[in-house]
Amino acid sequence: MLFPTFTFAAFFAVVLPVSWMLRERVTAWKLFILAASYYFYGYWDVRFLVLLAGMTLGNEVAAIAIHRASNSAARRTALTIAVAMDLVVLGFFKYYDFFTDSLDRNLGLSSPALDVVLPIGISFFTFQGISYVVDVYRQDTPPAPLLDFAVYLSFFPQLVAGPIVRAVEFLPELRSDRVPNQVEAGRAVVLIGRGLFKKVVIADFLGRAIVDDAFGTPGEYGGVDILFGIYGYAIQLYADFSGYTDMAIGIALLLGFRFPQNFDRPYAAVSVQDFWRRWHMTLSRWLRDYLYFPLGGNRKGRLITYRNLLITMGLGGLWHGAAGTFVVWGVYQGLGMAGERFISDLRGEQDTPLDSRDVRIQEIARLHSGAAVDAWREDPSSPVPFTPLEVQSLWLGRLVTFHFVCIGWVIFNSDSLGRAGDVLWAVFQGWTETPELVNPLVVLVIAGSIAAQYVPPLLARQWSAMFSVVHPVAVSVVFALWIMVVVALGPEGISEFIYFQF
Amino acid sequence: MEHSDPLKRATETRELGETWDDDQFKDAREKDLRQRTSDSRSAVVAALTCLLLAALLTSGKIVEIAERQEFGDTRDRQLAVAERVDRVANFLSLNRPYDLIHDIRGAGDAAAQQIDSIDDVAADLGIEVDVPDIDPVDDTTTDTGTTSTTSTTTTVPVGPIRSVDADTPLSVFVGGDSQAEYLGNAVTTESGFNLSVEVQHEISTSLSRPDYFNWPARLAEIIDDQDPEAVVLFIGANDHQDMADDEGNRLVEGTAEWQLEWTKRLAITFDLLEAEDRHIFWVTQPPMRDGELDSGINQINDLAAAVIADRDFVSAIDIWPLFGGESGFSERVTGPDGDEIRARIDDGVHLTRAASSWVADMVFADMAEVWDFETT
Repeated sequence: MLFPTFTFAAFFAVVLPVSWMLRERVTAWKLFILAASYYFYGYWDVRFLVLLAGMTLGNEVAAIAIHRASNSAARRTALTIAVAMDLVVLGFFKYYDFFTDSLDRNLGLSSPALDVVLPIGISFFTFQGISYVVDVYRQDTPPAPLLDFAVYLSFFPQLVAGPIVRAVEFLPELRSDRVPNQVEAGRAVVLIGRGLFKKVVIADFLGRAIVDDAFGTPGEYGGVDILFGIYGYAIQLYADFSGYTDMAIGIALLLGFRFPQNFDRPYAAVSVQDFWRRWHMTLSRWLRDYLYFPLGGNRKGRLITYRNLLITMGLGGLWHGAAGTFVVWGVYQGLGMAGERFISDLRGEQDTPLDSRDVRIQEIARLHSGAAVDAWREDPSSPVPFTPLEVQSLWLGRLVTFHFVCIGWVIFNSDSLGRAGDVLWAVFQGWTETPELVNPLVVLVIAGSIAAQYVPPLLARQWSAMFSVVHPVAVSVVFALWIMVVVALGPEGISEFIYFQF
Repeated sequence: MEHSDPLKRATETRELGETWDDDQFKDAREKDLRQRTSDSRSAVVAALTCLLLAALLTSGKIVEIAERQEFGDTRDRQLAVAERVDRVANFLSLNRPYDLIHDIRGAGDAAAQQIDSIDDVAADLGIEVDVPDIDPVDDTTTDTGTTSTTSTTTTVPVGPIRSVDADTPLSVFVGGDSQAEYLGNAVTTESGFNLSVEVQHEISTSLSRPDYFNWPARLAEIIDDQDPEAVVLFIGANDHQDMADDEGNRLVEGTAEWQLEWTKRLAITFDLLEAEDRHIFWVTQPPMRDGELDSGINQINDLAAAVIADRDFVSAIDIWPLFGGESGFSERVTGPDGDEIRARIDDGVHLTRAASSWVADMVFADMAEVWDFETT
């Protein structure tokens, strides 16, 4: 069931009060939340539950085996088996057709044709499983009880499209008593309200008004239409995905759980490195900690650093989908980051050789001390991202970065490189033609969405704080009116979240 | 910066601003939480109150969504709840603001969303429905899906209707459910002919549920506004569900009554499009991965074949054999060039772009028998 639907509202209207009624009885609460999460996931397809349960058991057994292993070789073996298991499951369900197509096309090797159904959310909970066993191996966390781990892996607010929550962030909140008066209701209201508007109004409007046509038949429209179609897709993707995660984080807050932030005004980024500290931050963090650092990070010289960036981002692209265009998109992003690092090297800027253990110790210490590590990019242990040298060139950096990212989105949204080329080529054609797709409302929505990237975060926090002090009845009325406006402005029907396909 | 002690490093001043030690973080967080948090009981009460109030404010939409569900017990239950909520909202006049915004937007004003009955469309247009005698089609569901046994022959008129060139392009309308999107794109861009194409695809639409979207009503508008010479229709994947007849009686999918009603609706659709210089192209449904859906579309294909057989202004573009045919659903098939192509996306329903291009080529081939094209 999708978040912005009445079905989910009815589901949540039951889960929320029962959850808080059971909070004193921790085991009963966990069983209830686990059942609710399985019901949520099974609503799509009951067969998916077998996969989820299997992944839960497999990773938990592996974590216990790692923890109990008598020596480092045994621990490493158990970890290898666990990660391989997770990757095989992900690879089979998500990439079987892609690899067999590639083998057939390039090597003439035919494979059995299997009509494999892609379970929704598999990329997300597989990555969470991998992070859990690796964290146990690194001794950042002990293995959790099976029930706790099952709740963590299946927790419905983040199950199907993230954010990718780490075990070290979530499990302590299961073990400790949740304080009854610590519900960030104000922030939840702002997040859910904002997320609803972004998904139901902004994303769906842009998709139907301009993006679908511009990308569907680019040769039929002039350059202005195509250019705004590309900008529109950038906003649509951001509004769709960040809208979903806003709602997920808000729903989790109402249940008493604090998820990490996943987006931080990405189109205000001044460089590609900065962009990846603002876009899908939990994925960036996962790739950093479980791929980039184990490859050596930036500790083994320039060329190895560039290589590691390309590999990390290329695999990050593959994570998004079983198609060559996603890999190309990832490598493209990696080239951007490597290019910026190359410029930094030319400038002679000192790059801090970062020890991954330092970063993890910092983050975990803060989490365990109760400190808020809300935005990874604010984490002082992270290296300073590439920035233009002068303040004046910050705006040039933003302009260049935004367009670099938009070109990447064209590749991302195309089912072939040829098609991406058609769209990009169409930008330069027909500038004298009267735009058919662009109208004042489309321009307003795109411009307004970009302008919103520059609203200071402090303002959002002040709104949240304001909702916290207003009487709950007033909050209810205001938010209900907001829901009414969103539903009235929304299109007929709700399209699925774009990131569900990942 | 010192790197030997990571915790110490956190306290050192950096270019992006000062950092705090762990105690400072903890103090700041506790103060922050006190300012930003609410009592859980009041939060839950507020959330439930909000949901209830939102339901009352948008009761009309809730009823609409319930009505659009497939006929069955779930729909009946949801509709019962929705109508109760709507009655309360009406009594309290709480749904007026939503209706006002809706009216200002003009959403849902189109004939396709206002006229719930296909019979009404026929009556408005003075169409006398000519429904062929049909033998009830077996809608038995099997594991591998039933096979369509009725061959759909393509009938095209002898001789071209007219010559088409750059000065007088052929006006084409492509319409249907979500399957029509890629087909419409391909027809628009890949023909090599002089075509002027309009496309409309509406997800989840069908002939079974005119209460959701009335395709005959929409097509009647298209005829008035655009007067297309060629109409390509790709509808049917969502028709496999119960429907209501004009008196509101529920017709169970697969029964003789349901088949007769669906046949009548298709006949009305074709007959309202009939014109001297117009030709209709009906794209049949391909095999589906889901066994029940596959049985449903086999039924649709057989019923459509019977309707088309009586109408020489309609051609069937039979794609069923291309995407599995007797062998059943297959995600990959041998394409027109002899290479294997991926024909279906992950859902086991929708055609890929490559497959849609192939279907478009079949449409073009049939069009070339109806009109004389000067190649662009």
